[in-house]
Amino acid sequence: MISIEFILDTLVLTVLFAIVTLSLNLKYGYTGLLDFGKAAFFATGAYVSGLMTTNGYPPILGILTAIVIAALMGLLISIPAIRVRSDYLAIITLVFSETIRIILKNESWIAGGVLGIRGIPPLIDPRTTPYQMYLLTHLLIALMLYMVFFTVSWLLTNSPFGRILKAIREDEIASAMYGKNNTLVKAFVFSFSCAMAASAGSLYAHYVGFVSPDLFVLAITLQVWIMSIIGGPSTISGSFIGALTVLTIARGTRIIKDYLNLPIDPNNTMFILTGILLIITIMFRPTGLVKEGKIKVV
Amino acid sequence: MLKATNLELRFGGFRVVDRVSFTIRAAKTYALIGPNGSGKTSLFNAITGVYKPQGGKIFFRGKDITSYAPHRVYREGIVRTFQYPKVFYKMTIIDNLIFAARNQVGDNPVSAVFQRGKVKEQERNLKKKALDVLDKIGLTKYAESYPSELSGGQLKLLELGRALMTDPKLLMLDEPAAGINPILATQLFKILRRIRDEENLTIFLIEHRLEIVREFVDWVYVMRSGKIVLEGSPNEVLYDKNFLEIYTGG
Repeated sequence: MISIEFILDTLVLTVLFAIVTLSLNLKYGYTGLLDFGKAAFFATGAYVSGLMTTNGYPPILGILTAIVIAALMGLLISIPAIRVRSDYLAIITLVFSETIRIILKNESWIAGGVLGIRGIPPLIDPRTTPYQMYLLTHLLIALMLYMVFFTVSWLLTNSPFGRILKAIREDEIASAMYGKNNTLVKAFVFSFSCAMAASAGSLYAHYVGFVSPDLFVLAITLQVWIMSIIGGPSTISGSFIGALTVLTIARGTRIIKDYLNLPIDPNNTMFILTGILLIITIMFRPTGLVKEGKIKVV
Repeated sequence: MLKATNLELRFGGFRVVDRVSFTIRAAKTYALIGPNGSGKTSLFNAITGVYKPQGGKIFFRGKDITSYAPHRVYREGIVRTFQYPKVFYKMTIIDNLIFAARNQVGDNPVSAVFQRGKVKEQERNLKKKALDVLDKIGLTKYAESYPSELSGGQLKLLELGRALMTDPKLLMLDEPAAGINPILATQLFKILRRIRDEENLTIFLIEHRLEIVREFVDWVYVMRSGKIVLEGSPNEVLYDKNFLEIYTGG
């Protein structure tokens, strides 16, 4: 039987991943910036929060600091990154992400090295609340955060600013020729999107209670990419649908193994199904489940 | 209005624009003609900041704009179109036009989120203006369509419309009639002429075929191998004894 806890837990992760996917959608779907370093910013959020709260600061301060630090980091990496062409940008972000992970892993004085940080306090005390309430609270907090980013992203993309994003994606020279400062716009997108991913990482750390470098491997970034592509990269709502689809497969395969006696490992079932879905999406609906819409300012 | 002195643009050791000087006066129409590869588009790129010239100066309305980035050139009031239309295919035609308008509150991400009222008000005005422009270029019925539904000639018109949205002080057109059939080309120049006369525009355009723009322009610059080798009124140039030689590259 699927328990309510299992569903709630899946939903919390879905919402957290929806936030990261939304940040990728803004960057890649709307602005056309290839970013293979999403995991790094997710990790930044988780680590900053983890370090702050295990040193006695309240979680809210941890989340805010994580957002600010990630935004600054995004700005910093954008300085060399936005001057290069799209595929080189992908390389830079990928290298950056792996560098962060390897440093965290090997320099144990920063944050515990391979062991990571343990004992990150949850947002509410699990000893005094029933487990379902505990899950529900985290879900609501995550949802609130998602709604904020959802609204801001919607307003940004459905405005003259949103036109600049799409213009940069399609033709940077034409955009510049019509007076738009592409460099500034891209720097903003970088920093905003990194802050968004970090806030999700932050909540994740509080929710799970511990972080380690191995949680932020390239596979996480790629999973976010799959969510984005399946949901519809140039959309806002596609972020949730993509995250839900991929996580339903990931979680569903673990349940299915109890009912179906498949000759393969449930983990592999997940990879196979996700891969097939990705191929089908690219072949038959390359725009993703949700299609790119018109810009609605008024 | 626009004055270039000894403008020089090199790719490697190759001088694409070779110490070119010329002047554009207000409310006149100029053509830049010359064979393929003579440096016409490169000259446009040097003026509009796509490439940084290695030598020489460009003055616009008395201000030194040499090496300005494209978005700063735009702010001075220069706008250009491209030989191969650079329109935004994933945006509707009307969005393509509104995009180009000046001083939009909502270009700033913070205002886009927090000053929604202002943004909407401006958007309504810009929409009216865009519909006006669409009417002038005869694409009204395509307002909500995407550029992929337009023909090559209509894309050229869209580019022109987008440039008009910026209230340009100087309009630079890179082969506005290239790749479209002569009848449509004549039509395009008819539209262009009407708009020019209504709004008293200053135009600098590139064209291959002098005969098409002969009636339209006041002054012609002829380029060859990166140099301006001949200039004059269209008729002077056309009957110049060297003109044919320049063009056939003899």
